Amino acid sequence: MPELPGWLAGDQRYEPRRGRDAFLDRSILAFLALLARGGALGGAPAGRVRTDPAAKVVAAVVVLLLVSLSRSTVFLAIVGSGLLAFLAGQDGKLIAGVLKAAAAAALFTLAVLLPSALLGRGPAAAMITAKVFLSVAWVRLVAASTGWAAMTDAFKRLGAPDLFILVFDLALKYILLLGEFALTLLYALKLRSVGRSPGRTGSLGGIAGTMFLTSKEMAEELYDAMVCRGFTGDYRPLPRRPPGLREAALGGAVGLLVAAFFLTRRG
Amino acid sequence: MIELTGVSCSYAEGEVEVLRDLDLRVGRGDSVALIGPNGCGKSTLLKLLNGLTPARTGRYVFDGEAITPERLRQAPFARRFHQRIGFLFQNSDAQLFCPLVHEEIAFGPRQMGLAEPEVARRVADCLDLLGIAALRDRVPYHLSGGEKRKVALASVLALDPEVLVLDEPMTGLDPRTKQSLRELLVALNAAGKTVLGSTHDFKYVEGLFRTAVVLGADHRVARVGPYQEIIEDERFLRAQNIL
Amino acid sequence: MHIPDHYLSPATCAAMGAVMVPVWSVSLRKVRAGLTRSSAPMLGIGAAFSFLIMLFNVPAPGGTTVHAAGGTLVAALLGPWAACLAVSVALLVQALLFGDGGILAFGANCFNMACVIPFVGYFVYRFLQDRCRSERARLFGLGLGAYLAINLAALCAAIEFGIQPAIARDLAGQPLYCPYPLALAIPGMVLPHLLVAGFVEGCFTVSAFAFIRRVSPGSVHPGGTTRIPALYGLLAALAGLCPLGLLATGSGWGEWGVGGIRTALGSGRSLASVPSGMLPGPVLKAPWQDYAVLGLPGWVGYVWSAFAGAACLLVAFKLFGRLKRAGTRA
Repeated sequence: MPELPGWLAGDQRYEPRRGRDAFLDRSILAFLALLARGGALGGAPAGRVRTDPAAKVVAAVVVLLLVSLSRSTVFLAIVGSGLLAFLAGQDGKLIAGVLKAAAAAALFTLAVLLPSALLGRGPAAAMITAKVFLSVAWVRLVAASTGWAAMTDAFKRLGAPDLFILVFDLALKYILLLGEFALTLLYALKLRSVGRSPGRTGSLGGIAGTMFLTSKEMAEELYDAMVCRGFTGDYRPLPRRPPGLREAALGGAVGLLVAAFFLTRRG
Repeated sequence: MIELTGVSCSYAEGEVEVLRDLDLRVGRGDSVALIGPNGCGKSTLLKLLNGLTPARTGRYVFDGEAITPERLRQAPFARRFHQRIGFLFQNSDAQLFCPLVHEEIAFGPRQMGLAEPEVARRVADCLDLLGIAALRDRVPYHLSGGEKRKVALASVLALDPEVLVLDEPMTGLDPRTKQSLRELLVALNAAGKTVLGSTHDFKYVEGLFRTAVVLGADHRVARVGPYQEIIEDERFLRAQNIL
Repeated sequence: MHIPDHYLSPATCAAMGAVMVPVWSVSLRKVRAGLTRSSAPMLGIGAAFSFLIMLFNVPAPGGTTVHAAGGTLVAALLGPWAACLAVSVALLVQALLFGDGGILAFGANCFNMACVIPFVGYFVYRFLQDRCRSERARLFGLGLGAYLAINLAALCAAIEFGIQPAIARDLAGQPLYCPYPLALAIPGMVLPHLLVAGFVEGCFTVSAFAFIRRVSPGSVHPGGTTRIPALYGLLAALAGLCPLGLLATGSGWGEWGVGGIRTALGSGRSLASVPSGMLPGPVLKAPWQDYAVLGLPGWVGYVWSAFAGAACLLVAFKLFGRLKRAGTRA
């Protein structure tokens, strides 16, 4: 039986001084939010993705561009109704997530533009806020209904270079893995933050540094795993699924939107 | 099948020696257990066998062909070598890198250049073999430890290797999974595959390994012999810090 | 510092995207050339690392927190080209899957955070590293690089915002996108970085880097293989930013012609007469008048002149340097 030193074997009375560690709590919250969202994102299995993800991404970008160029509130209203139509087909949790994110972005925009609105540029501020709401909602909708596995697939279809696909794919996976690891480090730091600690930035730097070194090891292990299964540097693309009815419908909807854009253009 | 002669391995530019003057002979169809205390170099030896780490001295001959870093740099040779010897990592997280389980299993056969119908057949067969058909469309990251291990094994088996190298395959698995894994490995060995595995879990690998190679704390081979005999020699195992 | 959609006109977004395309292809080329065993996975993980660094809340004075940017740290660890790619992918993931920072504004965000920050930070860091012996001085160089880089990036973002009212207006003169002009955007974005965020970024970068250097010095990018003298980069940047001058109304101070000098006092006052020494005499005709070349828009001539002028000076200095060296050797 080992002999315990006195301070360990006895009772201790410790009254911590008041101090703030807001940065630690906020970092922890940020990572928790990330992992929660990441978990939800990864969950949409390929079988449930009904429309070609590449088509969805292209459609979203076109919609974004049209919204950005448009100066007509009528057009924005049309886009808004289209958004509602798509949202109606999703489940409640997804809708809540999308609308919450869009509302947050819109509120933030409003706050930033408030000074200009008060100085007389009200209509412009309102329009930008509306555009921000619509865009964030659209992008979140596409992302949430696609899942990150299919998103990578989308890039493959759109002809991105091999290296990019590989990097993107691995980035997604390791955001979650490294993120979990970082979270455990942050918790460890928090559990040991029993008082005011000088050099708090230093401890965050240590966490970042440990994350980097771990990620380097992961990279080497991962490369070994790929080499062991025959990878020699080129990334072979997956077989294509031929475009179908849903893609045609999406294309048609986008076409109508483009027409609406031109019709609602003011001189 | 596998011959190591006088092999040494080190890292940090020769500062830290991990393996010392190793001799190893594994015949086709053998089942060999690699035993040793932590830090004796088991994992490094397994990496070396898979061509992931070069030997500083000595020779590595696989089925009559010398395996050197220069030869492995040639893509066709490397591909053929890695198809013939499959490696199951200790850390399944590092081994799974595809978005979906069925893509993970298909990765190897696709790299081999097999036609899609054949790839699909192998994927289906491997899923059934490991009993993970229900996981086909899942994301590997979200699976439990045991499920990840099975997916990793399925993706290695899809290559149809002749030699199977396993780094602590039983770690982190529940007893039921350990049992089914053991049965699968026995079946593979009976079908003619050479199996080489490092393990601490003597209870659950009974009947799988016929030979044991013991690595000492001094990074050399301490003893080679029949598995059962070595496992029962408690005095020897204690002396080697294994028990 | 992430720019959301609809703050920049599509023209600006397209222009920034066009600027990034050659940067990305050169980065891809450089990284592929130096691809080692684990480089490819390291890029992916580097992208994940960059993404996660941007999540950290770093404490700032006054009890507030600030988000880290991390571009300089990644550049010091992986090299500037790999850092450019890694941060770009991180931004792509943020834009597409997490909805932070715009998709149309992706080019601009990449320029600010994946191009300016890694390269400027890296060059300052290397510049000082090659000239200093002590470890402390080198770490200071890294911190300084991070500070300068993030401030320059903030300036670029401010400029991208600030020119919107000038270049995108509707018929009624109302700005269509960001309504704040340069005079507001620049102080608004740059001051917080100059005073607070820059220092925080510098400290965070240094502490992470020092940790890694102490624990595993071999993990750090060795550097030295790609040496573009920082000077060229700076000159190119300055030349590119020249057209901003076109936005200023009125002529530069001291650049008045004979007619203009009468009204140069400003505020509606004017000189009674032109000083006699300034009255017409021999006039030198420059090959290009007012930067207008071959009928192309003013900014083309501006940038062309800037590059040509800089190149002239460089050639002159280099020749002078050769002469001097030849002189001392003799």
